[in-house]
Amino acid sequence: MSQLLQNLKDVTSEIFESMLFLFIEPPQEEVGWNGTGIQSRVRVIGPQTFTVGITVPLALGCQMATNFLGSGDQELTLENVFDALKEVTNVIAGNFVNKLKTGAAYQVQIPEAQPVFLEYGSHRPIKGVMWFEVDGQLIELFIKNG
Amino acid sequence: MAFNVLIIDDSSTMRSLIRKIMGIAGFPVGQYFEGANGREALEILNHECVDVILTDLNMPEMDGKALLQTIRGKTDWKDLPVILITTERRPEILSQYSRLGFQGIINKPFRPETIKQVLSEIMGEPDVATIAESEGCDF
Repeated sequence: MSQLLQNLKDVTSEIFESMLFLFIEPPQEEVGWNGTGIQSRVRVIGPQTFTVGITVPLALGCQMATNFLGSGDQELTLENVFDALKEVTNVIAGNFVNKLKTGAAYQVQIPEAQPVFLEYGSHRPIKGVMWFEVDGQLIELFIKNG
Repeated sequence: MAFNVLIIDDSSTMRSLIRKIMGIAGFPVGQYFEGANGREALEILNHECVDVILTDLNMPEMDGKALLQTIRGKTDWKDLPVILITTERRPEILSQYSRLGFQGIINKPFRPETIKQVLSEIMGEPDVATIAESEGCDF
């Protein structure tokens, strides 16, 4: 794993633990995904413009939002779920940029989130993509140019 | 004495979280005001009496830097305590905000006790009786 990806993983792991009380782990072979998910991404503009993002199954997105708000009795809306995921992505990108050597030149843009269909295919190795398991559910963490 | 608090963040869930933490910490809050960006903050400041501002930096329409610049440029608001709630830790960037003037910074991700600590430094320690009346406190 490159240092860049390692930094992204470290930052994400810390943020999942401290903001969401969830732990990211290497995925088990049998873990896959299928159905509705949410993808949140944020562009970082600088000497080398890139996008950082995360894709999670809807059920995990709901769990993340519930943990983030720290309230089980509060009625969770889809808007809360999207908003919480965008905030998590924003915090991941911001803390990732803080670790870059030329960090001062980078500007984190406003995060966006959209529903996605998760096709069964499990965690294939793709450049710039890391797969993790959180509470038995698969998540995708990625960084790509542009 | 109860404080009127203005929370500015484009994330409504983050605003809810901050409000909740302040409640649990037992700070005597009179009224909460909320906005999603600097422009909304200025509108609230024009019509309401605010004692302390907690603001994000990275927001659409009008970001935290532009908000801070505007606040410090207005006689009525120039001494208003402003706390930044941000992922920003880069000294080169934060020095720009220091020149404008802010009273505290809370880095995201934050723990509830950090909000309590920073607010205590600016607003004073919360009243013990207020904490006891709140829904519980584990920090």
